Amino acid sequence: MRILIAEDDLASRKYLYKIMSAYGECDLTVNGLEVVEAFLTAWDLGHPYDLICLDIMMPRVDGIKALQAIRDLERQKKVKDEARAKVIMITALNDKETVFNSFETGCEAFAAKPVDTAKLLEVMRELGLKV
Amino acid sequence: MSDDAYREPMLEMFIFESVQLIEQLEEEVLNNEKETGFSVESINKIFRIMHTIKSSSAMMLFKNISTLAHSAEDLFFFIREEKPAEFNHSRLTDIILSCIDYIKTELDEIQNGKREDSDATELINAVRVFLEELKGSTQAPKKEAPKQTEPQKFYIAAEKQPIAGAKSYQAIIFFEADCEMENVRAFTIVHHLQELASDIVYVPEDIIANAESAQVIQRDGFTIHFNSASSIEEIRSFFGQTAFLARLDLQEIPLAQIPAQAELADNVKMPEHLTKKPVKSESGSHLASFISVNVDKLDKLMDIVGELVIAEAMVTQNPELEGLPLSNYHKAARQLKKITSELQNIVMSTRMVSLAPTFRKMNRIVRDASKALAKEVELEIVGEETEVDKNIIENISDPLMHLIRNSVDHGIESPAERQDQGKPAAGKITLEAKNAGREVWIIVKDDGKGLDRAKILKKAWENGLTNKQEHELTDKEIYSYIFLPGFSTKDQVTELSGRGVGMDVVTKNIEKIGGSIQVDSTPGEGTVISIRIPLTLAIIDGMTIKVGHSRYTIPTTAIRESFRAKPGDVIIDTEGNEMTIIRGVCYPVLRLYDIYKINQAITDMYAGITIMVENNGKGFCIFADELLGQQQVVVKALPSYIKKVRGLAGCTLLGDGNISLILDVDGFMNAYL
Repeated sequence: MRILIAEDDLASRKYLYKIMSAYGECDLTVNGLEVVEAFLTAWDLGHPYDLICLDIMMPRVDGIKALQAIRDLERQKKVKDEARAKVIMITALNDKETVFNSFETGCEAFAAKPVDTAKLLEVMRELGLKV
Repeated sequence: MSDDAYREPMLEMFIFESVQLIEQLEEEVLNNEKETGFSVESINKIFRIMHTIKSSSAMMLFKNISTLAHSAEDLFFFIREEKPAEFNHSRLTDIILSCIDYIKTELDEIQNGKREDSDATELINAVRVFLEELKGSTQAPKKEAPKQTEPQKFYIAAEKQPIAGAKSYQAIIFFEADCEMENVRAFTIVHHLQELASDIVYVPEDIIANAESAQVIQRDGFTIHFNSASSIEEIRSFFGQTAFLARLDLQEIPLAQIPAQAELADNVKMPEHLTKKPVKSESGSHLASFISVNVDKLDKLMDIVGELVIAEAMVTQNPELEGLPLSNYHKAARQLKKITSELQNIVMSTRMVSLAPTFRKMNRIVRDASKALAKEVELEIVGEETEVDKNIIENISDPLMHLIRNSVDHGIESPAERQDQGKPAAGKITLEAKNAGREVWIIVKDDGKGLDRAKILKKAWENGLTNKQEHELTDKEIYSYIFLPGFSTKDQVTELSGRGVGMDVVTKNIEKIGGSIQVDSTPGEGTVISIRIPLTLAIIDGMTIKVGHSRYTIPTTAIRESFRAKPGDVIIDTEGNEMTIIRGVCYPVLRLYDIYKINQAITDMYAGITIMVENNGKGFCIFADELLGQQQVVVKALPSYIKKVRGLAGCTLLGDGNISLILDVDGFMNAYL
């Protein structure tokens, strides 16, 4: 499994990397622009990501905008809905508007920080990822 | 965790929505039972509600609720699609109600901070078994429930609650003019700040990459937004350690207003194709017209308005102003009075809640009770839109439940008995609420057999509640014995309304909110129980009277009239009790100075004033020196060092600084008559 972790905070990034590296090959990015770049590069190489963990409050391009870009790109490439990358937003923002915006933009799950690891893995299982 | 604790907005919303849905569902189910059989629309509605609950609880990862709702959804899907002609409606109702109960308890526990799922397997199995039976009895080709079309979303709640009391701060830092390397210094600050703060956002953002940012910092300062649990003093001392610090602007900003970095520093332009489709925000379209407010705040607001009412009286009725020609002052004072009373009305209205949810709950009580007792009972609700203070709602629910259960159990007869008497087989209970002046009346009426006067009297004698003979007591007095502790006319104890330990609890609860309860009954035709509750307890309309140097306040609602007795009006009976006759009815006269041992009061019955008060249909007269005037008073509890004085409800502060004792007419009557 290919996993992309986008997180500007060093500690959170290391933590997520530690959890996720057990389940697949992780790439790390620190802002939304890099996320989109990494996403495109992965496609060009023929190994798109299966799971993308997105922070929302990131410099340059925030997580929701990055998510929007990813979904737009997938639509352009005519990716089937089942084959889309699974996106889990992982953020300290937990107000209703942010959560609904994220769901509307097309993420699969929304995890409020601090992350409940057990539930995160449960959701990854529910999403059909090999955990 | 208690109710006022911080909860994540998503969790909050889930609980709020689900509770509402469940209430709707319960109402729908109960309505259907009344109409014997589920209509197509309500099957649809129940299906939709179950579907919503299933999805939202799955999103919040409450598996037990979602699995249960899923199985119920399947069941109703089957009923909707296959339309089985014959099935047991009552059993379906039972099953769905037990599902509702389970989800309700779960929601309660989630609300109280519980995170683990409890086991719902038994219920789920019950639903499945019922569904299988239905499937077995239907010959029609089976359609499977469609695969979920919309993808399931998940919300993972934070592992632990974020630090309580986290505050947002904004700090703008200016360095001394010649310190140099401002950008590196700024970065060091941010780096160290991470130890006591989170969600740090700063401008300019490219402090390391861009050397020119040093000039920006030098010119505009270095702005940091962050969340921290530390106090503003701690934050200030943290920044104080910075080398070359010239000036620090530190302030607290409302929580969750920290802008995303990209928005804060709008000099960063997004690539064209990314900005084309802005994220649609739903929040603009349905603006919230309601906000939820912590009840503590409303209580506090009420307290403050109370203080304001007292302060207003102290200013406008200040004894130092007496006799001064102050026409403009009085104009201004009247204006102030008007505004204060408007304010008071508005604050009171914010606390008003409709009785509808409380009343609707009773549908369920009637259903369960009548089912358990094999009686047919119909509940009619009148005036459920009536509003009362929130405190009252909390205290009224249990007593009402009790009264209704009692009516079903003791009041309504069995269908056979009713038909023998020429009544319709189904009994009827009416639950009514209405406003009457500054009071709310709640009336529970049944058309059952009525109270048994002789039996109540016999029980009252047996239990030593009275030793009066039958002809000495009015019907109402006899009926009111059912509210005394340890009274039950039912010979056999039933599991439902028990042995009558409840009725005195009902009275206690009602009295706690300043209300009173009355019962009236006609044998063979039914019983009427009326509860009268004052709209608010905090501020009452009172008549202040003077006795010697003391002041007393009588609630205006209790006063019927006042008069100066003329010689010959007052008679003395054989036991030395004073009486007066008003329009042919004899009322006892009580001298306040005598009861509360006040010196220097007027003792001549014909020089003072006599006030007739009435409570629960019983009247008596109070003798005092003079009436001082009617005003709104704020009820304060008597200080704890004064032991409970009989007949007093509390005290209040008058405009001239005197303390007035508020008479509790009901308690007064019980104590001294």
